[in-house]
Amino acid sequence: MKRVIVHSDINHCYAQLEEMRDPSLRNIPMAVGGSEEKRHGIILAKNDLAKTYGIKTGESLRQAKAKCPQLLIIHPDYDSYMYYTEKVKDIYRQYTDQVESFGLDEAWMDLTHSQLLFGDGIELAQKIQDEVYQKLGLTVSMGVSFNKVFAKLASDLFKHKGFALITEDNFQQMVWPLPVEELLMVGSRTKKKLNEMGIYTIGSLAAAHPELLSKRFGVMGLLLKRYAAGEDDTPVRHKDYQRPVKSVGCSKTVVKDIESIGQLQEVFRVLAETAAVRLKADHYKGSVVSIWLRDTDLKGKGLQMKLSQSTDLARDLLNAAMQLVYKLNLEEIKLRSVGIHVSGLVHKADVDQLDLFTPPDDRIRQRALEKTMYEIRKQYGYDSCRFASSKVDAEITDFDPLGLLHQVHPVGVLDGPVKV
Amino acid sequence: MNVFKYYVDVVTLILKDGVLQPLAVVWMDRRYKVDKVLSVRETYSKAGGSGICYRCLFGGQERSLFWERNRWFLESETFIPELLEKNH
Repeated sequence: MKRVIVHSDINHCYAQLEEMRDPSLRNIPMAVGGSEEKRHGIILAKNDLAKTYGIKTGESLRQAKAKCPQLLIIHPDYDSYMYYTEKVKDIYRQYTDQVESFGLDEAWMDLTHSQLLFGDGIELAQKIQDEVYQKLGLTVSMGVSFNKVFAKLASDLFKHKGFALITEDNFQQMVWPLPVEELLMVGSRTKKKLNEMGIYTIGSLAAAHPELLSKRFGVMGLLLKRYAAGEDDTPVRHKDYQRPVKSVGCSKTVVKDIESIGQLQEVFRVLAETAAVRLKADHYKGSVVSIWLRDTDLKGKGLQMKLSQSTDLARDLLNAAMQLVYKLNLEEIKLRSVGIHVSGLVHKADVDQLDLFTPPDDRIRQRALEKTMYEIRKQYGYDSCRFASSKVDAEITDFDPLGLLHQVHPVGVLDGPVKV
Repeated sequence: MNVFKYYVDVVTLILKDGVLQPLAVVWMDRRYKVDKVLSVRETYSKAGGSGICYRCLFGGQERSLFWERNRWFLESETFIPELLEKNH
């Protein structure tokens, strides 16, 4: 049976959801953006009127306001966005169990076998598109094709409830003349390199010599060529599929600039504790620690190191992060956001490699300590158990990525069976 | 015609299978009995928002009552600025 793969995209998702909830927003230039006060002030999505002013997703609120002073900025309500985007996917899941999310606003679905139940796949896709509009008042653009890559490309062709079909018969006319950066996985850097090789269209990528591509990009080059030639046969994942975790990270844009090593260490302490909690929750240990520092000019620096043994201890992560900081040899510290990232993950029970110089129970004790701290925080809130050093500059460490900051669960509220 | 939405208190019967049945709507301190639910379907409101739309009969009047996530709103063509402000 011929594959019928659909890619759907909720057009300018956050902005459209806000307009759905309040239709009067359609008549004014509006964008959804982070808050300037907390300093993650960028445009996340904009409506059509804002677009006419040349406002771009990703630019700072200040830049946007300069282009359009009357621009209304709405703070994102992620809880509601998650609710409504799940509602959209619930509609997809009525027709197939192969629904693969690609971010909140995009998803692939495989309707190949749904045709046995619901009839022609292309008509079904149109029906689903209508149903999303009828039930939720949201427009999704849809692309239908015989593979995921072309389906995604097709959904980008026409916005606003657009619908495009790329078939095995027409893809050479429809897809090949398009600029190469329209293809999935071709970002600005790859585009530049391809252009240097004289490859400007998807068609010329498909026709490019495999050896040249693999020399320049490795296996990725061959994969891109396959994508361009319409030979992608990756399946749409089952709706319950969960990507195996490859790394655990945590980052923070701080409320004010980090200006000393001491402040940096305290911020990293919170991040390391969070990363460690996430590792422990999934019974992972990691062996590679990397850090990422972004200064006030938004320039980034990063470095990574391999640990002598895998760890899930916040202490080890913090030590490694600070070693990396010293290695970076920063002349001046003026940081806006920092992150810590743990990879090289392995599934391991709580066993540790002993070494010659540390007491054998050192790591066991440390793990027990961290676990206890976490439990205290879980029950009584993050502030109930803190390092005194975090109080030196309480403002900068006043965040808690795990959301325990204000959580207070008195003991015993849900202890034991619930009686009706 | 412009349509407005007003979040309202609704006396609701929750049936044992989880289905909601609106019994009466409280509107500006008065209680209006829902005489009959004419239809139930998922849709969006022209006044904004989406959810389960209950087309209800109040006396001789037909109105749409929406169950949106976790609360009720009533669609109306009447414009009452004070009530709209309270909505947010």
